Order: sequence, then C-alpha cells, then structure tokens
Amino acid sequence: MGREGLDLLRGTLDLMILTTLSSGELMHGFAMLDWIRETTENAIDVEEGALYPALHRLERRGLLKGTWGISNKGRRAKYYLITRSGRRRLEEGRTQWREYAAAVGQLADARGIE
Amino acid sequence: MARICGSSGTARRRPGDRVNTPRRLPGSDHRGPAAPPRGAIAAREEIEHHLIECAERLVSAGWSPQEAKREAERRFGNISAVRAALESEIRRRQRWIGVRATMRILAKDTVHALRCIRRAPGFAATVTITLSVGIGGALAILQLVDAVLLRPFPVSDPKTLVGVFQSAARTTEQEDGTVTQVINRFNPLAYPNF
Repeated sequence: MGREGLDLLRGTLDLMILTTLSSGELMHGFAMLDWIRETTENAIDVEEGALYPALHRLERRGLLKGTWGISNKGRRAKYYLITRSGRRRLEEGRTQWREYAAAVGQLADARGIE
Repeated sequence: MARICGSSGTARRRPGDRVNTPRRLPGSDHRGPAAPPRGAIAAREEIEHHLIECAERLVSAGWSPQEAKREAERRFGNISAVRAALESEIRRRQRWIGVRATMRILAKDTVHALRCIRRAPGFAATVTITLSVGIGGALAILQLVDAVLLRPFPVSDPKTLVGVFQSAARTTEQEDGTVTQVINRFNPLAYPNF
C-alpha cells in the first residue's frame, strides 16, 4: 500500500475515533470499537491493534485527553475525551470526508467513456 | 449487540467548554478517577483491560474462559508490537512534557527578570554597563592574544620563514686605552625560504 493509501486510512481512523468521542463522553478503547461496530451495523470493524496506537497519537497531538478511571465493573481503564482542538479537527475532517464520499459516489454512478 | 458505553448524543458539550476536568456523562461506564500508572505499565494495563473486556464478552456468548482469553488475544493481533508502539508514544509524550515544563520555567524566569528590571532601572543599567565593559575588555584582550601569539603568520608555510639580520661592528677606544667592539644588529628582514 502506498503512502497516500496509508494516510487516507490513518485519517479515516482518526476521524472515526473523534466522531465516537464527539458526544463528550469518556470512553475507553473497547467501548469505542463497540460503538463503531454498532453504529455502522458491523460494516466497519476497526482492528484493535490499530486503534490503540491511533488513540495515543491523537492524545500526543492534543486532539484527545487521556485519563485513568474506574469502570462500573470496578476495573481500571484508560478513558479518552475529545478536546477543543479535537472538535475543530473533526469538523474539518467531516467536510473533507463528505467531499470525498460525494466524489466517490459520483464516480460509482458515472458511466465510462463510450 | 450490547453497548458498553451508550452514546445517546443528548449530553453534548458546548464548543467553549473546557475539557481539563473530565466529567462523567450519562451512558459512560466511567465511575470515577484512578491514579495513572507510569510509563510501560500504562501501556500494558490498557491492553490488558481490553483483553479482559473482550474475553468477558466472549464468555457471556458461550465461550469457555480459556478459549475466550485465547480468542481475545488472537483478535487483538500482535500484542507485543502494539505494546511497543504505545510505549514509544508514551516516551515521546513524556519528552514533550519535559520540554514544555522547561520552557515554562524559562518563561517565568524571564518575566521575573523583566519585572525586577522595571522595579530598579538604575541598578539594572549599572549591572548591564558593568557586564558590557567587563565582557568587552576581556574579549578585546583575548582577540589581541589570539592574533599576536596564537595564530600563525598569514603565509602558506610559516615554519619555513627565516629572519635576516644585518650587523655592524663598531670599535671604540676609551680614554684609558681599552678598545671596545660593539656589534649592532639592525634592520630585521624576513622572506620565505623557497
């Protein structure tokens, strides 16, 4: 996979994470995967191994804030919260996402040169 | 599929809200803060929590605990590689935190110094002038020593330079009859020895 393909995937994953946290809730990684699967009706299944490095990368860039907490099962877990810069990035990303989706949709509906 | 952390979307944060103090909102399974583990332990604990949650879900779906644990690990993928990636991110973040702390200290010191200068401008001017004169004098002497004593002559091979002197003997006779011969060296010349 080329560099552009990787960037596109990474950007999509980042955007999915930011969207998941956009309600302002504290969520841990496992809950995020659950939310993405449920929201997309199992169409998107993010790999666990890709999620956690992405979460840490976003935290380092200041788009998420990580904090340790106790879950209702009494377990220690790392929770994430979207920051103000994260929200800004999400809004930018959503616009790009929609434009990209519209462009792909146009291509899908287009007929080739006859 | 059950939702561990329901996201109803009813409790949205306003764009201007600060996020420094995390709030527990309805639907989250967050029940309170916990002390953060340090460095590599944090990466291990985070992955461990995911594996336990996943295995628990599988057990509730009818898997045996051992099989559920294995399956959770299989689904996670390369655990050691992910752990290494997280540890690397944590180290980078800690380095950045250290740099930011140093910058903050420097900024505070600078502000403090500027306030002191504004409070006692005469003293600040005296100190500045004293330091300027001292440093300037030391610099001038060092440059002189460097140019005269330390640096070689500005020719291609200074070792081959030779000095040429002329000397002239002058004989004088004193009143008591003693004869003294004085040799004068003068006109020092220098030329490169080809």
